[in-house]
Amino acid sequence: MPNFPWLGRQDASAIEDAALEAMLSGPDVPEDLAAGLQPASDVLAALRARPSGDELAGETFAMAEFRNRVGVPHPVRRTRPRRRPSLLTSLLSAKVAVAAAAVAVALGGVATAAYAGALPGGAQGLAHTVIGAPPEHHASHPSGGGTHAGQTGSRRYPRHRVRRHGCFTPRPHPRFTPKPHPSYTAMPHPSFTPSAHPSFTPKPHKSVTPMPRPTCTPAPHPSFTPKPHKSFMPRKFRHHRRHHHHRFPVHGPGPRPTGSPSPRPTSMPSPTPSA
Amino acid sequence: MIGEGFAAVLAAAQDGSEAAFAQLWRDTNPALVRYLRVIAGEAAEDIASDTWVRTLRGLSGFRGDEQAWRAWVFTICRHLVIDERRRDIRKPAVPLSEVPPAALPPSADASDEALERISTRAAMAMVAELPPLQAEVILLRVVAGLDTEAVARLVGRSPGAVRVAAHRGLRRLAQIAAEAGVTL
Repeated sequence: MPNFPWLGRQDASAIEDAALEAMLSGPDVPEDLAAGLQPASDVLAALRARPSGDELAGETFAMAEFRNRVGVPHPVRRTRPRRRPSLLTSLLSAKVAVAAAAVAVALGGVATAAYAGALPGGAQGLAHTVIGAPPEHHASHPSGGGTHAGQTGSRRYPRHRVRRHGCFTPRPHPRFTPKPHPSYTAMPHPSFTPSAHPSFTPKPHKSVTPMPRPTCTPAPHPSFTPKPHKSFMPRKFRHHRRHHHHRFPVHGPGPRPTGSPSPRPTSMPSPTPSA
Repeated sequence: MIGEGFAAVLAAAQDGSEAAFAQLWRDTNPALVRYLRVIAGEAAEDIASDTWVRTLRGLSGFRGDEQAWRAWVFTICRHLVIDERRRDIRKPAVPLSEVPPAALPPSADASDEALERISTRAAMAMVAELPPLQAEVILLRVVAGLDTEAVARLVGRSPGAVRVAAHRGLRRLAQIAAEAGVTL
């Protein structure tokens, strides 16, 4: 088998890499370390040597900084994580939260009753003073509901329909018409079915291959007779054009143009003027 | 490295134990200073102090093992180095071999240092001669004790690129050390 020199180099490189990795990982020097790498091993051993005096000179400053930031040392190590609140604290905070929620609900109910005029006289007056609820004399005539626009309470607070359990439902303003959202697309009326006009032919889009034209020929208007172009009109009839009655009058209410009228041709029917 | 007792030490430090924090500091700061002396040069001590200030801000919220702790601290440190480079004109790290011996602080244990083939300062000076990425990768692997994946996330390269940079750096380091006259 031939001896390939590069295979030997690869093996040596792999062994050397393993030795280098071992030198970097720990202080123990491999026994089969190549002689050329021994100086490097000595350098690494010196880098791992014990600390000298100047490398420990900043300890006083570091301890002072530690006392300022961390605080007084505790002799007993905590068994539970610092950031987790205690069970008692969590219970207390839950109770406080529940109590606060109950108070808020109660106040809300009182305010609702005040606006509905359901509080007794003195309380209603106090509510009127504090939160601006309807005064006592208005509270004695509760609203009967309904949608009459004429029923009005105070100028500031319109009448509202009050339900038995105290909640109120604000009535919409009689002149308020909610506008549909711009993105709303109204659906067509179910009884309406748009049908195409019999004479309407939709035009194809220019990017689309145009469809062949329909073969139907629109019927001409009964009162309209298409005139041939003058180039196709016989010469003897050309001077009669100006005496033909057009569908849309050319001249205004002014005097007629001068010129001797020429006799009408008998071969062409005269157009009937439209009403 | 603290080892298996790291979790207890960390928890005690987060609860406010000065002794526990001191243990964390003594275990991490020397590696931090060695890394900064090669990467940041003269601003090593200042950046190390700022690193601990920022570490203390987030100490109570940190969660992880010792590897994650070191990766977190060195990430803060590296960001401060980048900020420092943006603020000032970049000053290349002066090799310690060029620093007069009188300017170097004396080592705590001279006898132990004599037994070592190469001093830590000389080793750091040799590492500083490497290309920046190779030097940083070797320091983070050897001094900080981070694995290849953590180093790759920190420097923003792939693990394969980090591995190649580290191996090339070691081969070059061997040449530098041989040229400097390091013998067995």
